[in-house]
Amino acid sequence: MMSPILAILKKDLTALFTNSMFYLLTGICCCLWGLFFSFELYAFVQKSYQLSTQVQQGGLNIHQHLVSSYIVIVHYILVFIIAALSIRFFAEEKKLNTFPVLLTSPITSWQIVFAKWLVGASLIFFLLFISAIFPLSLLTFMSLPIKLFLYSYFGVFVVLCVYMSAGLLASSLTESLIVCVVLSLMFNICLLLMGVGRELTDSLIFQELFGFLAIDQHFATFRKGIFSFSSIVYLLSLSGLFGLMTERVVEYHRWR
Amino acid sequence: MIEVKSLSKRFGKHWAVKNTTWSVEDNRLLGLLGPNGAGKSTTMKIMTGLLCSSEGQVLIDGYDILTHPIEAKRRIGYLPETPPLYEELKVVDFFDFVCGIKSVDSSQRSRQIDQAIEKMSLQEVAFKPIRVLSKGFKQRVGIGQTLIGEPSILILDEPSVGLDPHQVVELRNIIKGLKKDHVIVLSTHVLSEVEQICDDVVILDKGEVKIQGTLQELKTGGRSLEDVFIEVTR
Ligand SMILES: Nc1ncnc2c1ncn2[C@@H]1O[C@H](COP(=O)(O)OP(=O)(O)OP(=O)(O)O)[C@@H](O)[C@H]1O
Ligand SMILES: [Mg+2]
Repeated sequence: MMSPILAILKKDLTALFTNSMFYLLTGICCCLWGLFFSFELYAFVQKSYQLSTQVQQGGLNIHQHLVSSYIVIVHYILVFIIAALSIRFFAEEKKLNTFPVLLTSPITSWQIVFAKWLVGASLIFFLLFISAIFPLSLLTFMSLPIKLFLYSYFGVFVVLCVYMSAGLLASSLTESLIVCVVLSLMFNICLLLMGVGRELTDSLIFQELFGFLAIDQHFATFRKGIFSFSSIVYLLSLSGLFGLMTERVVEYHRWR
Repeated sequence: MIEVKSLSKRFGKHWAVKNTTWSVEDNRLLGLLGPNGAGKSTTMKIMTGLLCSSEGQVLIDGYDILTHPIEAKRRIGYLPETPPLYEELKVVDFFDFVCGIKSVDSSQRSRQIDQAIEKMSLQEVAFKPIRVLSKGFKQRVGIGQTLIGEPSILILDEPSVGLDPHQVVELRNIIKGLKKDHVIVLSTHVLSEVEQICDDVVILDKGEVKIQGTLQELKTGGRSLEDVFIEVTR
């Protein structure tokens, strides 16, 4: 049951970690994050300096004013990186003619999709881990509210899993690598903009509804340090919904 | 044993395979012949569950590939027309991956991988990434991959394409050896190869079975296989 899933996971991760493109992307991420983190840190230091000259007691909240806003930037950059990496899920398998290996082996489409989902989740985990190095480096000379930090990172992980699942679907729909990236970006931008509906309507019910559907709302909840089960359930079901559609598309390949 | 029963496949309005019926018994080797576009590869794709048939069914050791895909696929090793290769992986890693997706017991893995490497003479490239191999070696990796999981049925779509003459001879011997405990279906355009190794022959043309039978039956009257092929697919 698990063996084929682990085999696909291992294969995909091995292939990725021997691919120079992946290191290039990771490198670009690191540079961007480092840059933004320095900006944020600079702004934070400036602000707290100003404050300390005005107010006597209590500094700025480091989580709210530095880490949280940094994580938002990490999240935006990763949305694009994930769209680029989504070609690895299915589009490349189809382009390189390796998809038949998966489709003719004694495994279900569910196992294939779940394995690919795990590949995506591991990638996100890896990239987030690298991004966490910058804020964690602060620990060498000051303390961070670790609980808030972990909640925020868990939140961004789950949120990114939703974007990744959209990429999974995009990848299953085409064998052109470019179309895959564009489609993936389109899905992700739609997801990003889901909250906008709230501003467009006057009806209170719809405002509530859009508010709940909007991924950024749930993300904000986590960043505030609230561990919301309904958010996790919602985000994971959204991710599962994309998985479901992907499974249908994979299965459809046999019917062409 | 493989049974193909009134199998048809339609792409849009075009029937790639039209109502074909044939079967292969255990320990026999069937050559699927036909001109380009006859429907050989399509038939093989349906037999391996890569495509769904439009009509009819394929039974693999009694399991319908559509309704019991897992049981059926467990018995099959398949070499597609273009060998499916993960270019970034080393040959051994690729074989290990195939062991994984075919749920080969971990105690069996290294033995089966070694066997596949040895049978296809891949020792010198076993630890190279597939990307750097020559076409013939890639083809051999593709054939080696079908042996993993010790399937009882091998479906090989033009296995000898791209091999050097030594390898063609060697492959022929390997296939002859495998016949002892496998059912093998292979497609090829090399008729001399068919005459040397096949027991049964099915000739397709435009999706229809033109003639089928044992090699001897087809060659009655002192005709060569080539004559028969030209005659029925004219
Ligand atoms: N995915 C597809 N969509 C539409 N038509 C297809 C598809 N695959 C195959 N065909 C058509 O089905 C017919 C049979 O093709 P197939 O690949 O089975 O031929 P073949 O016997 O393997 O030929 P060859 O000797 O060239 O390999 C051809 O007319 C081909 O154009
Ligand atoms: Mg063919």
